[in-house]
Amino acid sequence: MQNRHLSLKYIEGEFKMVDIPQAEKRIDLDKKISGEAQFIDDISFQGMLHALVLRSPHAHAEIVDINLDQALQVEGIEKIITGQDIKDEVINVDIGDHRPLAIDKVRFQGEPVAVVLSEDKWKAKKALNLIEVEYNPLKAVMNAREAIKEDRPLVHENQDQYDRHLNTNHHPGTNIFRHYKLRKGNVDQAFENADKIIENTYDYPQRSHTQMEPHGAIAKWTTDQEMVMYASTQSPFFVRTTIADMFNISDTNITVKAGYLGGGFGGKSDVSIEPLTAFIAKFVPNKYVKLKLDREEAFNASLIARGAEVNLKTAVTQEGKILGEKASLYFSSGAYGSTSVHIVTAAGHNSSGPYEIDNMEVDSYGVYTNTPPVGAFRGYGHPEVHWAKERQIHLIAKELDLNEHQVRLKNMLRPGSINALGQEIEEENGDLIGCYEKIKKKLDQIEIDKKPGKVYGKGIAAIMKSPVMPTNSAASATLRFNEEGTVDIACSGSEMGQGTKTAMKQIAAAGLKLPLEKIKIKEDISTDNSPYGWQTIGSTTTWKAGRAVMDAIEKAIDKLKENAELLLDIEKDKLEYQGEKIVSKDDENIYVKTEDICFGHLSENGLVTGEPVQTYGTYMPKGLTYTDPETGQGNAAAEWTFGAQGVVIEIDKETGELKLLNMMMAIDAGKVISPKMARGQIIGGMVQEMGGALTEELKYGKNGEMRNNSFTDYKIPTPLDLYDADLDVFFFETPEPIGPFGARGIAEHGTVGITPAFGNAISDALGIEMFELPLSREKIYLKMIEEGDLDV
Amino acid sequence: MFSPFEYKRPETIEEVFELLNQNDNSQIVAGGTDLLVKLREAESSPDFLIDIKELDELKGIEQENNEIKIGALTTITEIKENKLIKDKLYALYQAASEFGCYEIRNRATIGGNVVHASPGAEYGVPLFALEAEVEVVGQNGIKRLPIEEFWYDVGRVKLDNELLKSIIINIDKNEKSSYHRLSRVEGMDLAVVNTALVKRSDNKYRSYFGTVARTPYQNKKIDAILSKENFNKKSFKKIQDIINESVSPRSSSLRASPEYKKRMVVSLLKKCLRDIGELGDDIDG
Repeated sequence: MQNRHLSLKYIEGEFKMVDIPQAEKRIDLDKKISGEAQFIDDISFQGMLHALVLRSPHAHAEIVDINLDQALQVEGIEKIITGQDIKDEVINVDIGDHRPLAIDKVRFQGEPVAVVLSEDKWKAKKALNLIEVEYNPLKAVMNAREAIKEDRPLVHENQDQYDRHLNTNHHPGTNIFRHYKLRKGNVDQAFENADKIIENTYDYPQRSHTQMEPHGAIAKWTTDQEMVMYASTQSPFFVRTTIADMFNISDTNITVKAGYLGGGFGGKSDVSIEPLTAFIAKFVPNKYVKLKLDREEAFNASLIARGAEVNLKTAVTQEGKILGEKASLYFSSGAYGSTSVHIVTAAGHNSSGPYEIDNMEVDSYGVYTNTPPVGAFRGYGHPEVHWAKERQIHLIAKELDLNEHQVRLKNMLRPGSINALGQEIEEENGDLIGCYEKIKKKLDQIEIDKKPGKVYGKGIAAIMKSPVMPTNSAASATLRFNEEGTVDIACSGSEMGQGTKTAMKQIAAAGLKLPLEKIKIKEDISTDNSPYGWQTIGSTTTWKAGRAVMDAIEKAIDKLKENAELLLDIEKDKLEYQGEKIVSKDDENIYVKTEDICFGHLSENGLVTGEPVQTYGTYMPKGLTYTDPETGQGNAAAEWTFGAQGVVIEIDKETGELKLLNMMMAIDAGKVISPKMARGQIIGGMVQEMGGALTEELKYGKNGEMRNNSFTDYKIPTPLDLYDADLDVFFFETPEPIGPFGARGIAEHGTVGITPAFGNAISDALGIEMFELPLSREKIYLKMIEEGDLDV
Repeated sequence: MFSPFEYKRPETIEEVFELLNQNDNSQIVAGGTDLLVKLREAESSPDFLIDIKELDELKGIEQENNEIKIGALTTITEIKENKLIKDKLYALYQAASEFGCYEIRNRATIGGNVVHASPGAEYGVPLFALEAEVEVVGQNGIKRLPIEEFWYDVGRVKLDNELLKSIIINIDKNEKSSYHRLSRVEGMDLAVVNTALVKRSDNKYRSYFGTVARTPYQNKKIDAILSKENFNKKSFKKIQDIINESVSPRSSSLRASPEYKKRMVVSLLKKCLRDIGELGDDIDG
């Protein structure tokens, strides 16, 4: 790829590895099984106050009056805080459109209006019920389509006045806060030359992340300038900066501590409840304040996910060659825009799917709506556009009476292709066609044991994914040899269930050529002394923090050799590091043990030679640029990952019940660090997205209230939905030049193509075409009837 | 979070009534699988929480002559694992198998499910179809009444400072039975629609449908069609027409649209007929 910093040293030469040492079990396993592992709700302090939040019952309303008189009478209430207490505190991730509490208007049902602090939760609850708020309800806009109409209400009247960290191409006087434009080639010409133009609109509704652990944070201000916070966050450093900005104080005055997370999936990235927690704690100095969401609040008062309508117009030849495409994407991004600006971008330039399209015109809009704000969610814009693109390919083939595999293979990106951003795809980016052929073959081989009354279908999708992040999103690591020859390593990346710290231990053991037992990885993060890491998102930790660990290892080996040089009097270039010892390249009988020199060498008379080996490592993505505001072109993606997915399903014709028989993915992972955990990640992603494919959807009532903010009516897949299913993961290993030993990230990829695989399988089974997720039993059945497939 | 309450665990029925007399704002709890949700959401804040799990008189499954008696405190797991139930009242076994999830089944009781009187309750349609009767115990003794009289509206049963003691089913009258439900996922879910069908010893059928009305719904015309011989494809068309005309499920349900519910009533009826052996694998009926 252009401007790309290439370095093959971790996949060739000295570091070429055949086997990565495999851990017997995850390093967090015993603690989690025994219940010893601490999560936010396990932490409490003497005299700690609980924060209960009064939330708006309206999706859109003016706050006319708040009366606290009665609530303040409740005994045991420490403090009640409302929007009137806000001075100039603004939460500004990318757009300064958000306050910790609503001031004069509420923009979604669930938005914080007042907070009661008390040592006793029940007393706080009593006071909360006594707060009187007078609202003047306004008309709400619940989706992007409504929100862009002429006569729509504005969610933000003056978005032009907000501070912005970057040019979002917003449309003043409308609800559009982000417009990503991509212009490539000559689209009009392509459409003129086309044999056929195929247009469809695909809907992916809003979802919830449903982390096992709802969001929580505990904050205490020790002076009016210094704060310490414990938070269930994927992004402790980002939380720190955002809170410091909010109070206009230095980052160093804020310490954010993050331990284990009970799941993140992007919903605990950027910021969610942490700025509010910091804000309210400031009113009760020297007291810890805990804000812990309950399940219902995790649904309607943190970040939600997805919410896109994608319109594709594709110009094709009779043979199925894509000449050009016009794409319009409308994101229902919720009441505040900061956390979804880049989703809009990512979805925009990934709307091509893994195909080379010479002529493209993409308009991707982030639109304010009266729902909770949309944030990152596993896949980050990619599942939304793959739902559209991989269904579109299927429909193009159907329309042209061609084989869908041929249409895909004809258009697929391959070495030498130019992608939507204008980057040239190279061999090192991975084996897309190999992955696709693997899934196609596997699907072909599956013989279905057919039962009466049921129909069967197979569906396939190809995928691509890149991390979307700021150009300076760095990762880092520190490494310390202890006197006994063991190694302590700390690196960026939160442990939220994905096993990242175990993978880092394996990477370190492989890099240092030491047994796993000699390496200890710090699991928690504290911003005052942990290595900096921008955020744990975008499937980048193995790749980026892993690279930083390798950088630290490289420096450590150099230092060890310096110490050895002093002791052996052999130039360090003539020494070879072999893990437990450092050996003369000329004579293997001449060596020193690493443990004898890693802290400097202590001789018999007490004289020390050399220095203790302590190093740091960093990684900054190289050569990234912002995209051009007019053409959307630029080096916005630091790496690419390709793959393919497939499902086999059974449908009950009497009820529309869909049963999963097979689900599979082939992915070019570069290098698999831990086969067990990698398989778990891919399957986890596929199953989570199966929820989006089949059942998950946030539903709003007439007044914009979220109606299914609990697991009673928000249904996610459980093991019973996989009871009869075979799950397969196939890894390809085309080394990625930056990642440790060639590894790519794989955390999100399982999600990317699952929805279209299901959509295509339903088409295969019943000949019906679905355009709106989720593909519920009811929708499948009613569509069957509509198409006259049933004679009931 | 829960509102503060006093937890009471009486050992006799008499003690229960004493406690109920002591405090008007009392709440009886058995398995707690419905009540604890309400308490957590502060929908309910009783002064006394009276746990009746110690009352042995309300437990167990037994046969007396031609009746099977199921104590109100019998757990769903106990029903699922009981041979008598599986042999004689298959629909109740099926309902137990579909009920909640493994953990809930260990906790929840059939009595709790009945007194909660939810429109899609697992033990609504099968007990109605089986013409079950209930025994209710009060301070003045025990009375017995048909379930459709006891369970009269959404969340409403005829209990006035009384306890549901047991559920009684005549096994001579009911020859075969079947229960089916539809949900949105394979894991724990509330029923989108449920249906029970009983073939009686006199070869007549009784069918009941859940979630399409405020209480389990029966239509005599459908039972008449089912009870006729020469059952065929046209019969289902007729049943569908009757359902379409006679029920109007609420359109605000999050679980299913009225149209889908009405269709599913008939689909589940087919599955019940197939269980009872009246319909082969010929899917169209």
